[in-house]
Amino acid sequence: MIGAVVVDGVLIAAVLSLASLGLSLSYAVFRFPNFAHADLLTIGAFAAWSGATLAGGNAAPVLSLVAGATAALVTCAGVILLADRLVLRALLARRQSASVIIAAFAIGLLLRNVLVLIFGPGEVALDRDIEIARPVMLLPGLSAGRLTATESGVILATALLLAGLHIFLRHSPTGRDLRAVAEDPDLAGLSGLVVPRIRVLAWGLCGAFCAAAGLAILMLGPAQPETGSEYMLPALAAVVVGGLGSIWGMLAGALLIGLVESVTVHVGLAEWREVTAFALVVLVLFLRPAGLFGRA
Amino acid sequence: MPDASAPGTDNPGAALLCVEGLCAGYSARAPIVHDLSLALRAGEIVALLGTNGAGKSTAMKAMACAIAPFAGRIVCAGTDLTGAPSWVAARAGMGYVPQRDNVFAQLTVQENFAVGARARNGRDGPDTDAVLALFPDLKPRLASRAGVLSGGMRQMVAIGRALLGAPRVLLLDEPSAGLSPLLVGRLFARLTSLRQHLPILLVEQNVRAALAIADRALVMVEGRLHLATEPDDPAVTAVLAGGLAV
Ligand SMILES: Nc1ncnc2c1ncn2[C@@H]1O[C@H](COP(=O)(O)OP(=O)(O)OP(=O)(O)O)[C@@H](O)[C@H]1O
Ligand SMILES: [Mg+2]
Repeated sequence: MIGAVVVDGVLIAAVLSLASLGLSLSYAVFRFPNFAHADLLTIGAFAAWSGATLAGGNAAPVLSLVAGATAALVTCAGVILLADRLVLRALLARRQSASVIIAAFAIGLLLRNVLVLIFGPGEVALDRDIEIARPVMLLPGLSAGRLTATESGVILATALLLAGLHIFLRHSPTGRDLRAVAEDPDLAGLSGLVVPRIRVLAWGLCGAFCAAAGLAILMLGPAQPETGSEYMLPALAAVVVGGLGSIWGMLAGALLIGLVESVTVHVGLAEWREVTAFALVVLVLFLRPAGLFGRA
Repeated sequence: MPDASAPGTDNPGAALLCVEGLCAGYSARAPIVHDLSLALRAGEIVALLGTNGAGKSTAMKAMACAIAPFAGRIVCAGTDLTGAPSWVAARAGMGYVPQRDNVFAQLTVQENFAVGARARNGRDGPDTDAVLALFPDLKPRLASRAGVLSGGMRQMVAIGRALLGAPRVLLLDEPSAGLSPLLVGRLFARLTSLRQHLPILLVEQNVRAALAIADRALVMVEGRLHLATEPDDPAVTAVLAGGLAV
């Protein structure tokens, strides 16, 4: 039983961390909660579905995976970079966070309506063969949980993406510049960093992680125009629990929420999973107002 | 490249920083700095003095293009920087160490230096070893985050960060703030050793220490340049003591 709880919790946490990464990253660099993030996730899922379906779907599984990932990446990055160029950049320059938050909200609404216009209000899903969940041993001695090959793939891909992001941020010159801009954009400019260029890169990374999250969501189940919004609240919770702007804090928050949700489901209280997750958020913030890894 | 070929910039005595009629502040309706003109020539240290709130830091921010001026002209090593973004100024050779928030606290000392080197723009200049020779105390702390260092060490990191950008001029805003008298003496001795290659505009509360190494003194009163004179002119301390002698 414990093994199953942990395995399910890790799967929830993996999807949640992918869905939260862009939010955490944009908060770290731009210092505002990007409420268009939810709809960027949805767009990622729908773009992945379109790409995969056009490439033949189940008839050509590898090709459709590549096509789905590419379509999601191009669409998500394109949409957020366009939104930055047309709206967000000018508002961010004025340093009035209220107007930036409202604008992001409006962009999200617009995106969702465009999506309904194109795809209709119903759900999309990949048509695929039924997969068998195989037992997975996390630790010797722990009872086994069960995962399908797709679910294992999502967990593995998430781990690789997180490790890649970590190496990029900690060990590459561009990642270091990105951290400098996130910490103090004024000093970064005075030090010779071309701040707007690095901000474009930050938005591009947000888009890329929204694309990955959208693809993962679609591979695990159907998507509909509200899918991103359903992830937005737990994603905000993971980001806030971990400490605003800390990517590793966000991962810890996602793991905590994933495990609590998994426990709640396994003890037969599935309809309470969101309540317990948010009770946990309130508890953490009560004990540590800046989050687990936040700087007060 | 463009600045090195600009006429006259490498003659001794040529102005490497030229500020004319600078007006600056945080709202166009209430400018803080009025009609400030000054020149910084190769090989000299100029002290920019004034009482609290006189507008020294605001003037420096405008020279470094951290804030946009309302009027006036800023030319650094032959490049007109009026209205340019801060990274263009840094890349043109404007080295600037702000009074506050002058290091990346979350980055290591080494990373602070590497970010500073982004301003080099192909110029030759000191490398990390040269900066460590100037500030040997930093050698064992290269891998420490700047935020955990003492105030004195942080000031050295901030100056080192600016030096690694191979600046043509250096603007220092109160580098001695928060340092013990012993550390101030050591820091200023190192600044004089830089003067040969790098003219310095120095804003200081520590008037005596600044005047001791300066070649010229400028005194600001209420946002205007009130006095431009020799460092040993008794009028400097008289004005700073509050006697607004005209
Ligand atoms: N960011 C800011 N926004 C608005 N007003 C500011 C800002 N920074 C400084 N001021 C105001 O500008 C005036 C000049 O400040 P400035 O910091 O330039 O003086 P200073 O000569 O450097 O003083 P000090 O010796 O205390 O550093 C002050 O009245 C100050 O209140
Ligand atoms: Mg000041």
